[in-house]
Amino acid sequence: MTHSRRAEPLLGFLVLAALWLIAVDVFRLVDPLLLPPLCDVILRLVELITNGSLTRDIAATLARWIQGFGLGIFLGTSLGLLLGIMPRIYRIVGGPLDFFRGIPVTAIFPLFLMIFGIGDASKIAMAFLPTFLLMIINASYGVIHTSPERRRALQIFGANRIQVFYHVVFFEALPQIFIGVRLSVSLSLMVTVVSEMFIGTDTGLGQRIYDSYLTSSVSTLYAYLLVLGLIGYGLNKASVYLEKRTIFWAGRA
Amino acid sequence: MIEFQSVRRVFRENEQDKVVLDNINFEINKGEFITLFGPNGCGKSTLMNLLTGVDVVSAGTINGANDLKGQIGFVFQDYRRTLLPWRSCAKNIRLPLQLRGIPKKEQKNRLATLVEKLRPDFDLAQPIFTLSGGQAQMISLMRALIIEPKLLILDEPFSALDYGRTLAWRQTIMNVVHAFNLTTLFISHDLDEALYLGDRVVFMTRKPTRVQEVLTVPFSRPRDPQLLGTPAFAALKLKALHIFESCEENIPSPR
Repeated sequence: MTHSRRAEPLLGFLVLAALWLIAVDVFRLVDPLLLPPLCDVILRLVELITNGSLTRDIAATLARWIQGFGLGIFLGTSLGLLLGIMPRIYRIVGGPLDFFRGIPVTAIFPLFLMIFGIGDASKIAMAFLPTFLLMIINASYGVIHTSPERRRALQIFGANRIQVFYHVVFFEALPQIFIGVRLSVSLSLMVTVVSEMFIGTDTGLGQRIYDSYLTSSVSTLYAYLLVLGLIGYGLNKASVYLEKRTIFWAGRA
Repeated sequence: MIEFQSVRRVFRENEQDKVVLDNINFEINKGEFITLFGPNGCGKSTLMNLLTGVDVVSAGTINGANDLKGQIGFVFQDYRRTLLPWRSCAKNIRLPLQLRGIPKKEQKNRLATLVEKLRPDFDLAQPIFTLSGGQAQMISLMRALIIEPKLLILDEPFSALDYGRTLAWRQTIMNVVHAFNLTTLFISHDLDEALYLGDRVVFMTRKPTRVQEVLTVPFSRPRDPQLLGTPAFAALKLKALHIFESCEENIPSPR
């Protein structure tokens, strides 16, 4: 029973692959310039793996992403928690924060190119910014919406403000913090890849995808899309797993 | 031990003064079991906040409250929302000791002593969300007792339990309070249990809350559930009902 449950998502992938195989590889129903045969894409993928270029590009993209994302999680969460316990300051900075979040982050890239130059720094900054903003907003929201009952209980037990924060407020904010993490993971990966399509690099999956477009190498393009899909899928699963492990009590108490 | 003297608490709401507690006078003696009996929303929680130092009085004094700082064991009405689900049962019970900076080894020793006395019939290593209502309330009680409190406050601890469990818990409280020789403040809106458990019952009115009368319960503790069926208890309950009615008299009748 549980065994078949676990196999169900895999089944979905297999059906999709089979449809692709039948429609394109066998019956050639689609223009191969739009959707190349699955076999071509897989052969191209194997080639990219064996010549070592794929590993290099994955490493380049993930390195940029993790630096920006990690820094954004750390600084955004810290600042958000701090703002959450200082409601007056939160009310002052809340407006500007929402304003910055309203700007589509990709629109800021040219500005980042001017500030941080065309190297890796501007791409790391791109991964950093949406993560940072999302984490500030979610962490402070989590703190502000903690229930008064546990705080009062701790106060009655003689806890000081730091203890109330450390034993109650932080834990009650964690579910909202993880919502921020999950949103940040996909958004920051997206803008990292987009920023790689512009000038300043010859490594990274975004760059490879753009190169394939310029040279009309459609199977290569699809091979990289498959890889990116897998990375995004894996990172999402990982964050959900981490969330379930960390806030094991959520929804049950 | 504790004496409320002309205690008043006024909140400012929409530019208007709202009197929640007005001229509260009563005392709690050492070793005594006092029941506070009053309608829902009569300011009992405010009174608890004043006593525990979470809030301050607008006028009057609470003598002896300062000596109780960190010495109050508290069992909350909403026990699920005052336990910490990210900690195990045992760690929840030890929390008040941890807050006082007591070494882990001593925390564990004191927990073991308490377990020996109360003998909970479930595993304390399990997470909070697996507990039944009664079990969660047991954790809440143990968390209150582990500091060896000078005053135990029970804030409507039975209100979320079904009737059968309520009866069993009344007796548990009766026995524990007796065995630990505790001074207890019990908040209730059930007349039977107010009288059954208390040495004295403080009757409170609706807002602005005053003390209507303090009724002495003449039966010695520990008491047996048989007491509830005796004519003496019935007579006392009738007296209590009259006091209760006089509390309600100054409410404007519904139109």
